[in-house]
Amino acid sequence: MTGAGGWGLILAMAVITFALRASFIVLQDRIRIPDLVRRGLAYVPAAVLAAIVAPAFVQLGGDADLVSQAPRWAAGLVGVAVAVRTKHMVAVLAVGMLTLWGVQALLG
Amino acid sequence: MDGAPNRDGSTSAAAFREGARDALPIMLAMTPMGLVVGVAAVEVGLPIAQAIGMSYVVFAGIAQLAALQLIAVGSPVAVILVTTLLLNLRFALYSAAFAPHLRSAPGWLRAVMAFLMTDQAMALGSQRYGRFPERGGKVAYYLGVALPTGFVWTTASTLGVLLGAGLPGGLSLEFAVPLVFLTLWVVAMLRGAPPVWVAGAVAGGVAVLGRPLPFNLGLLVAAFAGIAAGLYWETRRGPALRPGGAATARPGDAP
Repeated sequence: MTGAGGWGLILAMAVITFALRASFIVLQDRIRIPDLVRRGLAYVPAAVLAAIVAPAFVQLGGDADLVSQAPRWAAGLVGVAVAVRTKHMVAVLAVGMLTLWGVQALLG
Repeated sequence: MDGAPNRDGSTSAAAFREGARDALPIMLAMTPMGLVVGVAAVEVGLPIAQAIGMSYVVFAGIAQLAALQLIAVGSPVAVILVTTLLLNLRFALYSAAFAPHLRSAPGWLRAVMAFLMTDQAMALGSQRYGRFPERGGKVAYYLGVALPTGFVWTTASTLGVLLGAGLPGGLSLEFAVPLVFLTLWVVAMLRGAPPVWVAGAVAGGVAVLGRPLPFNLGLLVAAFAGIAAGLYWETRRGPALRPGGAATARPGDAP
């Protein structure tokens, strides 16, 4: 493991996650969620997931050449189509990985 | 779980069993995600002990998977922790929603229940507490959902780690992680109304453009840009959720 990772990271993630879960259940009503946070939360899944996903599929700039990216683009497009139709993670995983391997094999 | 009757004559043991029964389909649904998290932890290079331990101490599948993806692309710890905070903020809302129902439990038990909180426990708990507000055994019902699902989750991800350690290299299995996030993203977008679509589109675009930023800061800039765009759109054009939609989006089949 180089750079990030390790027990320090895992424990810090654990502390943050537990603090959020415990907040109201353990401390009861001594804290309040600001209204802006409450409203903003509705956008967290769509925004954060997009921010993680998009660069994994689409890369602009110097190190991006078409042949090396084609398998991921193909798998991403097929994955979106399957996800819209089925909303099923296992189906997307199966079809997406098969597409990736297929295009990789085609491009040699 | 001592079998002592509640006010309405039901027992805690019965409420626990009721919760476990309600949670059965969910346990099946979360198994593949647990396997993926385990395999991915090995693929990005975590040592076996950390790969297994992560699911037991963090116990939050989506945040774990995000952290693994970020480790794979070399993000600094601070970016990973802010992402963890963002993805798990919803737990503070669940915590607020559950607190009144779990008040009867002693402090240590409330801490245990907080640790075991999942999207699934939230969904089932609020359903039962909403439908039968006076029915006793609320704590036992919660534990009946949370303990078995927690066991299934940690077991599935442990199996995933062992599976990942045994698989040959060169299969591009790390690509399973973005595919899972792609599914979760599509589901979040389909469940949302226009402001959510704006948030998702803006965040995706900014993330692609912001990839050259140092320390993978593009991720956080993109996330906050998306959230701000959604809020702006909502203020201008109407609410985030379709009528009858859940108060908080449920990002997927993971704790």
